[in-house]
Amino acid sequence: MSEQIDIAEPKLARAPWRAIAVTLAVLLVCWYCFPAAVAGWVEDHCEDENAWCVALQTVADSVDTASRSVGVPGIFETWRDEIRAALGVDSY
Amino acid sequence: MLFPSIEFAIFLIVVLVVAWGLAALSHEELRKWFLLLASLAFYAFWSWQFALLLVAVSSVAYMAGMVVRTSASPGQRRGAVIVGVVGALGLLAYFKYYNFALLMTGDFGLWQLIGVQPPFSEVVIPIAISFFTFHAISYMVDAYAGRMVPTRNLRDVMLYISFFPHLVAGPIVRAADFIPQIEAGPKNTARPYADAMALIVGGLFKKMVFANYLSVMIADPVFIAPSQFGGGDILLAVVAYALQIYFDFSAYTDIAIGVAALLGYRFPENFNQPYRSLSPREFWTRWHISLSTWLRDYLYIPLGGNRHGMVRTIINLMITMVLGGLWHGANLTFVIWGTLHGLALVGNHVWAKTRLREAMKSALPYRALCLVLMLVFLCATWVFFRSPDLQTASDIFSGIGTRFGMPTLLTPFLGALLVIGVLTQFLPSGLRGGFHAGLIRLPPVVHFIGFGGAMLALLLLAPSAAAPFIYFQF
Repeated sequence: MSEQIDIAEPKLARAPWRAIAVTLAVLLVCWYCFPAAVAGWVEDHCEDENAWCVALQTVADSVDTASRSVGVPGIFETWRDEIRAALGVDSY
Repeated sequence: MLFPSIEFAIFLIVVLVVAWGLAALSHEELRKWFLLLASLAFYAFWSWQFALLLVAVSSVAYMAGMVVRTSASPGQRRGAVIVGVVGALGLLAYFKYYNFALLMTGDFGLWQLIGVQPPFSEVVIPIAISFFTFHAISYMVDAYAGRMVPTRNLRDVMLYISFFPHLVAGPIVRAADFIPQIEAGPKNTARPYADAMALIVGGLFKKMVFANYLSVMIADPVFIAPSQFGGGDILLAVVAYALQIYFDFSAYTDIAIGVAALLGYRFPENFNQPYRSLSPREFWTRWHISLSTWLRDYLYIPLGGNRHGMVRTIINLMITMVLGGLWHGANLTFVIWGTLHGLALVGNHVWAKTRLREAMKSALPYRALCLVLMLVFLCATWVFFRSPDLQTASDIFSGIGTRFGMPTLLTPFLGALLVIGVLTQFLPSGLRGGFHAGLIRLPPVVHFIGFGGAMLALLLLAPSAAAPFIYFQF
C-alpha cells in the first residue's frame, strides 16, 4: 500500500514540524474522545506516587474531566457499543 | 511495545519531537545517538538482557566491516566476514534451533545410540533474532561485496541493525541502502508526511480490524480445535487465515515504513497485492519482498543460482526455500511449508521453459486457471504455516474432505471483511498511487480531519487490545 509519489509535491509536504503537529493533533483528539483509555493506562503503569506519575495522573484526570464536562466520552462510548453490537463483535 | 498501543503512541511522539528538534539545532551526531538509544529502549521494553545481545551482534558485524575496510589482505577480509556470518548464524542456531535439533536427533535415536542426552535449553528465543541477524549479515556481506564502504562508526552500524521501526518484524533493510541514509542524515520526512500517516493509519486498520477479527472470530478457534468444526467452517478458517496473515504482516511493515518515513528514512516495499499472483515465482516477488530478495541475493545466487544447469538450479531453489521455511521457526510445519514452496518454484521453473506454456501464457482462461490454482496452493500451504503441529494440519485437511457442511462462523461483518480483503488484492495499482498523490496535495487541516476521523473510526471498531503481530515470533 505504499509507493513512490512522483508528481510535484506541495512545498511543505515533507516538513517535519508539520508532520509532528498533525500526528500530535490526531493523537490528542483520540485522547479527548476516549479519555478513559489513557486514564486507565496511567493507573496501570503508576503504582507508586513518584513525581512523574503524579504529573501524568493530573494531566490524564484533567483531560478526562474536560472531556466528560461536555459529554464527549459518553457519546463515543455509546456509538462504540452500538456499532460493535450491530456488527456482532461486542464480546471482543 | 506493540505498534497499536498507548506506549508506542507516546514513544513515537517523543522520538519525533526530540529527533527533529536535534536536527533543527544541527546536532546530527546527537540525533543519531538519540535514535540508537530510543531503539535499544524500544527493544529493552521486552528484555534488556537481549538488548545486550543486539549490541553484541552489531559489534561483531562492525568489527568484520572494519577488517574489510582496513585490511589489504583478501584472505583476512574474507576470513573476518566468514567468522562474523558464522557467529551470527551460530547465535540464531543456538537460540532458535538448538532444542528443535535435539528433538529431531532424539527422534532418530541418536542420543540413545551414544548414551548421552544433551540438556534442552531453557533460554527463551530473543524476540526478532531472525531479523537482526539477517541485518547483521547484510552489513557484513554488503561490505565484503563492495556494495558500500563499511563505516568507521560503531554507532551507525548499531543504529542500522537496531533501528526500531524495522527491528522486530522487518522489512529487512539492506545495509547498502540504509547506512548511506544514516550517514547523510535526513533533512525532511522521507516521503510526504500525509503519505506516511496514511500508511500508519491504514496499517492500524489492517491489524486492529481485519487481522484481529478474522483471527479471533474464525481462524483461531478452528485451528485450536479443528475436530469441533465442520468442513465449511474449516475451509472458511483457511481462507480467513490467508487474509489474516497478509493483513497482519503487511500492517506491520506499512506502519514501519510510515514511521521510518516520518523520521526521514526510506524503507523498501514489502508487499504488493500477493494474492493476485499467477505463479509461485510471481508470488515471491509480491510477498515479503525484502525476505525473498534477501534469500535470493545472500543465499540463492551465492549457491550458484541458475548459472549451472537445471539440476543445480533445482537444488539451489530447494535449499533456499527449505531454509527460508526454517527461518520462520523451528518446527517441521515450517520446513514443509518451505519445501512445498520450493517444489512449486521448481515446477514453475520447468513449466516456464515449455512451448505449451509459451503458447498459452496470454490466454485469459489459462491466466484464470493459474490464479485459482495459486490461491488453492497458497491456502493449502498456509495450513502448515499456521498449524502448531502436523496432526493439526492433518485434522484440517481431513475435516475439509470428510465433514462438509455450511459455515456457521460466518457473519455479515466477517463476510464483508473477507470480501474487502479479497478486493484489495485486485485494485488497479494506479488507483492507490492516485489516492496518495491526491492526499498529499490537501491542506494540513484536511489531513487532521481525515486522519483524526479515521483514528476515531478505528477506535469505535477495534477491540480494546490486539494480539501481537504474527511475525513477532520469528
